[in-house]
Amino acid sequence: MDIELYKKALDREKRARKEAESLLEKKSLELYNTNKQLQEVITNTNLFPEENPNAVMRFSAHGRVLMYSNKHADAIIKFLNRPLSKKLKVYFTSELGYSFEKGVKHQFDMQIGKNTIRFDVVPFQPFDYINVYTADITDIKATEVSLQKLTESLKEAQQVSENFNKKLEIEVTERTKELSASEMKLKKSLLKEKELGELKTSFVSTASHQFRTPLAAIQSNSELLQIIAESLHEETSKRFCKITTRITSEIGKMTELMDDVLILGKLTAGKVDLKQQDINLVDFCIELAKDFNEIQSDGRIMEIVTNGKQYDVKLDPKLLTHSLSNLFSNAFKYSVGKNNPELIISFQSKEFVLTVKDYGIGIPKDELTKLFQPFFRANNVTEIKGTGLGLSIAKEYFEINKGAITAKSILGEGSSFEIKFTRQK
Amino acid sequence: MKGVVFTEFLELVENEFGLEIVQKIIDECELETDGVYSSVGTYSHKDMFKMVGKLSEIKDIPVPTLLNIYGEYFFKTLSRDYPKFMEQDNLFSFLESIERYIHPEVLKLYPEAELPGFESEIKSKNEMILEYSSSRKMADLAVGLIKGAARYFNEEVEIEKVAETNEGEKVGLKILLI
Repeated sequence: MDIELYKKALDREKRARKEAESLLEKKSLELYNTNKQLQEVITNTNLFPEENPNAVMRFSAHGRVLMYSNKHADAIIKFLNRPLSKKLKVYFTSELGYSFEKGVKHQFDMQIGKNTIRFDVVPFQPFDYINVYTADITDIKATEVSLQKLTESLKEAQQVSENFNKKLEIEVTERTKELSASEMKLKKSLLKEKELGELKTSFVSTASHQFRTPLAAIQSNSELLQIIAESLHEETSKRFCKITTRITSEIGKMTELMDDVLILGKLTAGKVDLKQQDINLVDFCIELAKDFNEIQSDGRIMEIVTNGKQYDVKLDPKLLTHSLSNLFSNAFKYSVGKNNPELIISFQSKEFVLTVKDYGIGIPKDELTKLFQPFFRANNVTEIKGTGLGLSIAKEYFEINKGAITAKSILGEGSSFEIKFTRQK
Repeated sequence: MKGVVFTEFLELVENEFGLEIVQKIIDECELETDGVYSSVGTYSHKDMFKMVGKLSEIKDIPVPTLLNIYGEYFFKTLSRDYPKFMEQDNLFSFLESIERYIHPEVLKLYPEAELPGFESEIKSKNEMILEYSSSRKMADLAVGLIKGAARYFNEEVEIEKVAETNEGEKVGLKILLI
């Protein structure tokens, strides 16, 4: 009975043992697989910092011992271990120690050779180590420096610009003041001019009137003498006649001169009004030329030439008569014994031109510019009568008619006077 | 339930009552593994109930009493096999460490283990409340284990069931040091 019991018990033990063994095998396989997986993970994990393009390092507590570094960290380690880098190494270790003690992340920059490296220190207190991650910020630093310089330059430029602006403002204020002052001066001058002008006109007018009275008296007395002289002896009568004729002639000159002065005075004071009419210029000129042609003792005539398509023009006939007459008179006067003078009337689309041409004595070149000045007479006309006011009056008349006169001449060959008018539509 | 519970039980029965009783229990209970238990294996707790019930029937000892005795005995095995868990100063701190430290460590090794809950509260130097919770409703085994632990720490205790819910799924145990 006992044997049976023991047999059964033994059998149970055997089976239990087998069961335990197979369980053991299973567990061993599990362990093996887990191990393998773990190895892979460890290898990959180990590779990870090696794959980091920046230097990474791990230090023991307080940063005393270097526990791990990837290959990029070699350069930094080497640099810090140089005898020259003693101070730097101390600083580096103290930064790590500080971070570890405070248990906080910490960042600092350091110059490693030519590069500026930023260190990020991360302590792991439960595990008693410090991870150090790095980044090369040389470029960033360079950019920072450039940026700073740029900012400074900009500030300077701004300052310069501000100063310049201030200066400008001051100048502008001063200039404005100056201008106002000049304006005031100008206004005053203008007023004075006006006053003077009016004074001159009234003076001229008064003077010429005052002159006329005695002149008239002289004239009438001269005529009286003439009458008395006729009842004298023939010889004496002839002599008296000569004298009275001269007196009359001189009075005539004076009167003419005074008339001219008066006219010029009126003109320069702006007291002559423009009364424009529609004129057939060709007919007008032909009529005027006729008057002159009749009084030429040598039979010369003003030859008239027209070109261009004719049209009526707007001019003041009175003023035109005066001014053209002066030119015609001069043309005949200064070309005695020479060919006929010419009047060329040219009609163009936007302007019409009158040219009075003579083949007379001409005008010296250097005196052409002064020709239109009052009382001016060229040095080659001393033998020929003239007041010296004719051209200046003519110029004024033409200009009131909105024309412009220019003179051309070759000494000894002749002169031409050209008056341009803008065609008024 | 871990195999060790079964193997130790049968060993105790063999030592106390002899191989015949062991065989009788195996023969008369319909056990899943026909009585073959390895200490590192895992088996149905129902088989444990069957065996305890059968022993109670054979020997006419009430089941709670059997579990009490077994618990005390089983503690010796545990303390021998896992010395690391015994590094406590006294009974109360040890009892506290079951929920806090011992069972979590067990789960690391045997993730599939179903362990009872032992929430503890130390009331005073001499009094502690321990709440047992388990679907296996084996509070009596727990009481035995506690007694075993007391002996290990050279203490004498009085254990009283002060609360019970769901027919033993949750049992409040008052432990007094005497």
